[in-house]
Amino acid sequence: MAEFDRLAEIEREAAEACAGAATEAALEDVRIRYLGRQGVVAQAFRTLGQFSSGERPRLGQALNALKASIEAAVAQRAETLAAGARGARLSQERIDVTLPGRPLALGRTHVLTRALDEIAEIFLGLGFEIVEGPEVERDHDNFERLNMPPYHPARDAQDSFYLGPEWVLRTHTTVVDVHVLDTRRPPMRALAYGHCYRRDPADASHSPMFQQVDGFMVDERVRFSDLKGVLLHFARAFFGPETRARFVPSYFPFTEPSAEMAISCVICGGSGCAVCKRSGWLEILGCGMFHPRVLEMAGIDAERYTAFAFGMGVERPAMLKHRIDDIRLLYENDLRFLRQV
Amino acid sequence: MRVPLDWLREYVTVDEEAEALADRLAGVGLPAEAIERVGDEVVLDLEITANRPDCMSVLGVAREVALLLGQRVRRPRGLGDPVRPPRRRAVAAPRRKGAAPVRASARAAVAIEDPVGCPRFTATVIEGVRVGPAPEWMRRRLEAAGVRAVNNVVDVTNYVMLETGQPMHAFDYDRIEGHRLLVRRARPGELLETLDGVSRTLDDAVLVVADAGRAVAVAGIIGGRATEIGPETTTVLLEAAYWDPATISRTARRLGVRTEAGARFERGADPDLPPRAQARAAVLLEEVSGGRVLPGIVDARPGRIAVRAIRLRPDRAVAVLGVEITPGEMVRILRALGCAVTPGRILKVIAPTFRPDLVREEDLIEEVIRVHGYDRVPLTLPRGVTTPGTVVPAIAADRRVRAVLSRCGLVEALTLTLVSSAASEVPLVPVVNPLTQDQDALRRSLVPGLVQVLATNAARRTGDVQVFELGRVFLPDRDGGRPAERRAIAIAAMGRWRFGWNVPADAAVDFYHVRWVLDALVDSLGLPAARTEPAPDPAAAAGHGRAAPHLGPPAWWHPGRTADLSIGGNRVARFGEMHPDQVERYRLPHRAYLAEVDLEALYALASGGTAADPVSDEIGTASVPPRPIGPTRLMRGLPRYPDVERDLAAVVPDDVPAARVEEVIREAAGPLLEAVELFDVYAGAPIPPGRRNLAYRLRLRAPDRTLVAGEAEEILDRVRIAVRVLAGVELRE
Repeated sequence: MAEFDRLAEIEREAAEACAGAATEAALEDVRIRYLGRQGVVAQAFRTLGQFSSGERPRLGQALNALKASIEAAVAQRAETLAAGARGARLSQERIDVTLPGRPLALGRTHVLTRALDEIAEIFLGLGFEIVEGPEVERDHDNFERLNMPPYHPARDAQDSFYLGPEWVLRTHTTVVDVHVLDTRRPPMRALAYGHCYRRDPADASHSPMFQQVDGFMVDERVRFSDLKGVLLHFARAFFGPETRARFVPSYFPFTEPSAEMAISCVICGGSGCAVCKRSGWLEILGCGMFHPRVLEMAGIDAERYTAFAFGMGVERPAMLKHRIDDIRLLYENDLRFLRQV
Repeated sequence: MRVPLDWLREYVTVDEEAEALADRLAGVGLPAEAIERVGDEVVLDLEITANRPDCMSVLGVAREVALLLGQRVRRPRGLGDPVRPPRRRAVAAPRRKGAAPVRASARAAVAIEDPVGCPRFTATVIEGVRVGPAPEWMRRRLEAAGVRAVNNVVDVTNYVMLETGQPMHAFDYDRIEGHRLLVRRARPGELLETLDGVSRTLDDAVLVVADAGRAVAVAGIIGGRATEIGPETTTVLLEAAYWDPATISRTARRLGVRTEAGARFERGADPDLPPRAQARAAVLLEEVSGGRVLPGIVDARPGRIAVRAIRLRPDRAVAVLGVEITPGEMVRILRALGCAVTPGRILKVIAPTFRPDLVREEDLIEEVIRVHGYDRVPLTLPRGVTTPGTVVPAIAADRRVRAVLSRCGLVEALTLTLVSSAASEVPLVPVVNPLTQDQDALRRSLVPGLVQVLATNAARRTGDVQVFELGRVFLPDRDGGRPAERRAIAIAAMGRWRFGWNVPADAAVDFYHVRWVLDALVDSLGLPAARTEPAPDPAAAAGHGRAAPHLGPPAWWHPGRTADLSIGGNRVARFGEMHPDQVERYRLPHRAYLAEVDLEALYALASGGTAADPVSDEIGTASVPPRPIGPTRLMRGLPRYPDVERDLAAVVPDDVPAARVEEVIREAAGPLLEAVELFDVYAGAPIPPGRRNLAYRLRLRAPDRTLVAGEAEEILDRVRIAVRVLAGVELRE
């Protein structure tokens, strides 16, 4: 029947028209031309009455199929066009991805604060209480309670700032240990940190004010070997798992035996360089078993309990870790320095 | 202690290289600070700890080396001879025919008034001395050891000191009035010109050696000019004594004189050494000065140095050290160190007289492990009860505060606590013995330190600086007691806070930035929002002195742009713009903003106390975890019902504070007001002069239903009326 051929022809033309619509507006024209109220398909429906009742159902089906087909073609084309337009817009929005980022002023804590926190974290994990104490101390607590009576030669190494006959700026955070020993009974483990002061003129490795960390453990059966084990753990946690430690005899009036711990040089790994003065070792802390006098003065039975203690400046480990060669940089507060880590 | 290697080799055979030897010495606690090579001379510069005066001599070091290498020490000629002098030299000397040789005791006498200060004093007399330079070998050794050569007599005393550790002093015998020495306390005001050319006024705390008329030496530390050995000296009185360490130490500090002799005596010399050192010096003096040592020695020993046996329990040593060492090994080590040991279940040990540091069991335990080797102690972890790790609240709070401030973009600075008192307008805690004049007091405010940080960075062409510091400030006690310490925070900020290309030029910090940071800080501690009010006029504030002693002094602040921040009526911070005069003085490139926070008060308030309760340095007493500072922050779920937003513009006279406007809005709006946000502040046409427009966005929400428009309008009407009532405010829709 000729009518079916005509419908097929319309379908073909509509498909071509859709494909030929270059813009969304042109496609809209196509849609109106075929599917609008006065469109080709609507008009074809209107001619349906001219056909016999036998032909009408088949023709009606064909018309519906035609409408669906054209709608599909328009929709498909619309999608294609939309995708193209979006693509064009996005490509117009191209930016120079190589321009530098816009920085936010990132704040940060001081490198020494972070070193202190890191050290405290290590000992917290070992069951230590992290404590603090005043920076102004009685001369008696700072020295005598640590087995350094007046005129003790060891006081020479800790030349102190006096605030009066009785008050002194603490020369070590070991004095906080004294307060903890006074207020606690064993078993106890504590770590104290904060500012300390010694009358050392400032140079590349000395500052009259510095930060110190001091820790101790009191219990029955605490051994010198425990001190070594705990401090090696610390050294490896702080400086890296490959770190080795060496303990050599030293002297502190408040410990006996006393030792100094050196770690394998973080720069050369122990083969010898300028930083470790060719020795392969870097001294970082003093330690030992608390002298029984120190425990006795705190009213702790030194026969029953033994204790280890250690103390270190924080600047040196931080400097070694970050390869800082002058302690003064830490207190100069030049942002070009502080913002590096 | 500088030890020339060839001198050391005189007493002990050392085949090792200097470096290898130094390494081994470090292992027993005698680390070398340096190994110096001067020509073919090698000098070990050993670090000697304060407990080892016995190693402040070449022989002492030789003893340690011998112990390390399993060698024996060769004693120098004379040392250890009971009393001398060699017969043939005495015979060779001129004396009256047939007469017995004159003994030293016939020519000189010694009396001791202070037996505590001077337990032992020996003297010998040497006649026929010809003063001149010492032989080359002796001078070379002295100089290698760091002692200046003077003349043969003085050089011998120094040589014996360096060799044996016994300081000695040579007097010109003929200049000692009455040829009799008296050890006594100085008379108050007594004068003595010492060998260093300083004329010293003494007092009765100082022990002196005196002749019949006057002091001739400061005991154990330095000799006097009047009796020193000179070219015309022919007879020498040689002193070798043992002095009480505490006395020497006290005197040395009092007079400010540090000498080689004093350093040895104050650490503790060997009380048995004086006569033996005399014998050694006699040999050398006869050799180098042609003198004749009179037989006999004057040996005054009023004080007795107790020799006590120390008990050492080998099982205690093992328990303390954590390494198995047999009792036999301990005995071997202690004997090698020169101790007399009675073996048994408990060892009875008598330390050699040159080891004054060995007095308790622990000292012996240290000696045992020192020689056995620290490196042979295993690495163990503690046994026994596990203790909980905790952090005291203030330190934990510090961490939170630092985190908040750095999240706000501030960089933490650390400045020195020691400051100059000259720059301060308020009294500071003075340092009695400052190192430098610009560090002669303790800071009372963190602000000056941070302003200096701004200035330092500005001078180095970093103009955009936003920093904070958390630290302690110190307030003098009015009665001269312990200075108060308070935790404080300061903030200093200037310049841009956003960087990079095309960032608006006005992206610089201002007053309200600092305000926001302080709000964030207060909020982080769980405290209610702080109120601000203009800081009192500095001129007026100066009047009521103690208002806020820890908050920066008035001169820092811009009088119109400074505020006090308070919580519940407690003033906790001052912040504002830096006074333009100060900006100029410190050559800052921008306006700068400062804040100082009494962190101690914030912590106390956050802990539920009052601002005056200190929280720093509280150690606590129990091992339960301490209660943190500030409440645990509670959180809410998200709202179920939508909000209604309405804008409100208020034209208010300039003197009505924005805080008051907001307060009125909140009161009038009631509980359904969820938030009020100021989004614009505008002055200028068409707003009449003397007024400004504050634009607020109000967010209303009911927790249990959707708010209808009518309800919202009702609330808005109430707010409009309230704002209008507030000082005749005009409303604009």
